[in-house]
Amino acid sequence: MRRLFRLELRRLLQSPLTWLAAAVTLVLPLAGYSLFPLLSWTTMTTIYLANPISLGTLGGTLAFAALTLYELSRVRRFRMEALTDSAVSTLALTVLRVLSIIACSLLTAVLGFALYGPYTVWKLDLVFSLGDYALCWFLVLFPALAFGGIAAAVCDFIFQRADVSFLAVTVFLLACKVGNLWAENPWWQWSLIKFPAMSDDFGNTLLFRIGAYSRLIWLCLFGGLFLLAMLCLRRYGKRLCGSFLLGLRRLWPCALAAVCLLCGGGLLWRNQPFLDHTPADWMSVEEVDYTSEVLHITSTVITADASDTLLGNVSGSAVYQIENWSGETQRLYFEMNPGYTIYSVKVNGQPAEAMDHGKDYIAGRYWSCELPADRENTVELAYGGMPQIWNVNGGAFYDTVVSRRYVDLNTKSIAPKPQAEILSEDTPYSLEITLPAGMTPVSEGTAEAVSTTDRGRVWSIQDTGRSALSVYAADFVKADLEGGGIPIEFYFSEKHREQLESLNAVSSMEAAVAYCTEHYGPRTFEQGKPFKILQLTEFQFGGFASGNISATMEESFTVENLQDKEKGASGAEVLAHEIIHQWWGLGVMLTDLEDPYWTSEGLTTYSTYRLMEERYGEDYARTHYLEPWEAAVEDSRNNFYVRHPEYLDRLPERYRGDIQSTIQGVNQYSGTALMIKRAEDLVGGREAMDEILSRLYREGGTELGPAYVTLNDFLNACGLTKEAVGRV
Amino acid sequence: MYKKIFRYELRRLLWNRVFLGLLLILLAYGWLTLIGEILLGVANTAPFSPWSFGSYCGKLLPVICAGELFFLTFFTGTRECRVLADASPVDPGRYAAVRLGAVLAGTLLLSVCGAALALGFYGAVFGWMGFASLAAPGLLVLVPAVVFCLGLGWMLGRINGALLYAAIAGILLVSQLPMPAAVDFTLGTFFGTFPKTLGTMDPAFTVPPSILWGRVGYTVAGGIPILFLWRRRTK
Ligand SMILES: [Zn+2]
Repeated sequence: MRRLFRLELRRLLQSPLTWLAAAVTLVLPLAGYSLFPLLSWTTMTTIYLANPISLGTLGGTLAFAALTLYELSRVRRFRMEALTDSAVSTLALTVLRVLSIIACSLLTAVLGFALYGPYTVWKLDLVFSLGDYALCWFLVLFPALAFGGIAAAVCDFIFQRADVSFLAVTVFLLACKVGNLWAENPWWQWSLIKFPAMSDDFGNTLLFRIGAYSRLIWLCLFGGLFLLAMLCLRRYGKRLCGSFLLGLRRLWPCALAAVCLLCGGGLLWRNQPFLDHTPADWMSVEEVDYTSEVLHITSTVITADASDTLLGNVSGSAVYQIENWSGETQRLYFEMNPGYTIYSVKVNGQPAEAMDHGKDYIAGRYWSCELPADRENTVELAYGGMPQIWNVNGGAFYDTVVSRRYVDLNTKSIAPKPQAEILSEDTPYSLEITLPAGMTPVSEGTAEAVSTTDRGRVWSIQDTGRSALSVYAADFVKADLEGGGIPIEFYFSEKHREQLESLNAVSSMEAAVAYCTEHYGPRTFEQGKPFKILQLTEFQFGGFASGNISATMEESFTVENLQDKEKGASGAEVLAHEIIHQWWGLGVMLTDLEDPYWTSEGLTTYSTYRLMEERYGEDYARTHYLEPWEAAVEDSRNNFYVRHPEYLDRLPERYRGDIQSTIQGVNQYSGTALMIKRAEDLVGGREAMDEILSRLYREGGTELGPAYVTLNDFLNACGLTKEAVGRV
Repeated sequence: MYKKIFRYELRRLLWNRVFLGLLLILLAYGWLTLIGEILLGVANTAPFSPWSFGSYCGKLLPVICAGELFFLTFFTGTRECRVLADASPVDPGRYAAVRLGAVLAGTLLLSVCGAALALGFYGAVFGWMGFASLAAPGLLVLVPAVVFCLGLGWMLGRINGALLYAAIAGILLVSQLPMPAAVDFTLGTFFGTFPKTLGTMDPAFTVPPSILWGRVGYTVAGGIPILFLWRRRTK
């Protein structure tokens, strides 16, 4: 058998069609770089790894399906000529052939790994991860090619027709990829695993964990189907049913194994541990507020272990001191990540029963226990499990995770969060958490390393006035940004340390903090606590601000973003722009229902210009900001369609929209910044404008509520009209 | 007699899956380029201006040249041509010319298909038919590059057939790299920036001498090996 396999493999390797399939698989990634990018996120790893691999995987699946069908149809032709039957059974030959095709797909992956290696290393540079690169080729691409071959073989065994089988495989692939029914579900993705984006700096562990699990499911399912379909191979000129029954009698162990594999795959699918079970119509679910007004938390002590980087399990114990002011027994509710279980509850030293309310809602689930009528109560919980993520969009938010490079645990995933009032602003909160070695945690409280165990590093995190906090940990480096009055801590990945040092970025960001604090107001919500700006994973999709923590996306740090001339004249100035977003974008959001180009970008760009004018003088600001803006606006005014709108009308609808948004795109950065500059002149100069902006920052707008500033809010504050500033 | 060889060679080039595949790739790529970049108009000119059309031809150029070099690989498979060469009493010089002619005809067909796609697009979308004005930029882009690749490919093919594949890779690479405008193989920077320096809107098509000399350089660089090798063979 071994010899036959080698023979078969050598024959395949000499066939030009094998090489054609490999070539299709290996050429398509080129188109993924810019011609057909499947993902629109802008981390370097998304652009230079995820996009090319995605296209190669999808195309390769079909190429190897076609190759398999071609080869199997040759077996059929030969069998009719009774050439091969004498030497070796058709069944054995067929299986061998499929196995050799799988071997070829592995060779293709090896070849691709080697060919694309140098370019990827060069492009990704300091964010290149060998592990992620290898997984992309051998966990994403290779199994897809093999599954393509097996799926084709299964169809071929049943239909005995290459054309029908190829159509079946293609339809199956498309149905899983683009259909509304399954496209969002990661478990249906048998060819290309679910790829929302890829992170540069914080690893892609959850993405690959979910990918590996879906590969396991489909290995079982395709294995079972393959064995089952093997029984359908036509025997002695019988039709499908006759052959199947005969096969069943002869090869019943095969059938048994097939049933076992199919059941195994089904069980794995049903009991997947990664996504929660939030109902699809979660928006219409009415949230119940379980917070008790008569229960008051007086102290929280949590010990948690988040050092399991293999599976990402978390375990821990929590001790809550709770005052019951009602004098009656009360039910105390906890909200916790749905992946966790409460193993035991003790109330005042006595074992109590924990009740699971069993309804998942946005990566949370309620549990409860009974509290006696005593005033002072001690509740001890032991809990643990693998944190689950919200299943919306098939769990695109791959953020809650414990891995070697990144730990992200939100309030509900650190420990069960009691639904009760906090007694006072001074109520102590203490968390002792074991994290993988080499990580620095960032949270709302203050963290301090206390000891090192063989599992990792133990950190003590202290805070007051809260019963839960979130922890983000990675290879963070801290930079203190002085100058805003209150301390601002900026945490970024160690990978960017040299880059930021060479850009002298910290001083530029400090200047931005000082400028915005002085001109618009301080950026803080909680007095007496440092404000923390974190660089966080792309899987958060857009950044957030909560309490004294604010996130900036990792894509701000990519080489390509740092060279974005629309945002700043140099890398350091781009980072100043990103810091100014803490005021415009996260502090107050700029948006407009009618004007799509009134966004936080325009005002942020304007503030960057003002900052650079203050730092480097008027000449610098004019040549690097005002003049490029004017040139960009002038250029868009010279566009052919702007000068000849009659041609725009001739275009089909879909092109017209694209072109209009391309031409108007200049309005988002340069155009709006220039408009604000014009407004500045009209309201009487820089100081008057700063006063207006400061008021908008502190008080917000009125049209959409205080969290937003619309274009009208801005114009009203200036006492100007759209016509006056030339925005029509 | 030579007409027959020409027809035979041309059929061998055109009547196979590779040519069909190349043509499909060219048209698909051309279509994506048209709706993706050219439709917006290059350097604020009309999408159907000579500048935009020249830029479009430049985009297609790598595919066309790769096709041309690929056609040349048909003649480095020594077995087939020797059979024919031995069987018929032909002058090797003229025979080589006929084969180069066949390669040129195949390349021309690819170019014409690519250009026709754009012209059809202009006609259908804008109802614009002034095709004559597009000849100059099209020829400026295509002719020097095609001649250059023919000479280069023929020379490399004489040395070793495998070098032709290296040349394909080289051409694809060179057309991606940023080059000084004068020696830019695809003239992408020239079409993209030069019209804006002319100071008028929708400027008429003109070519500065440096670009012209660059194109002449490519033509000569491709023409010399052809003439040289051909003369040596006919002697
Ligand atoms: Zn921005």
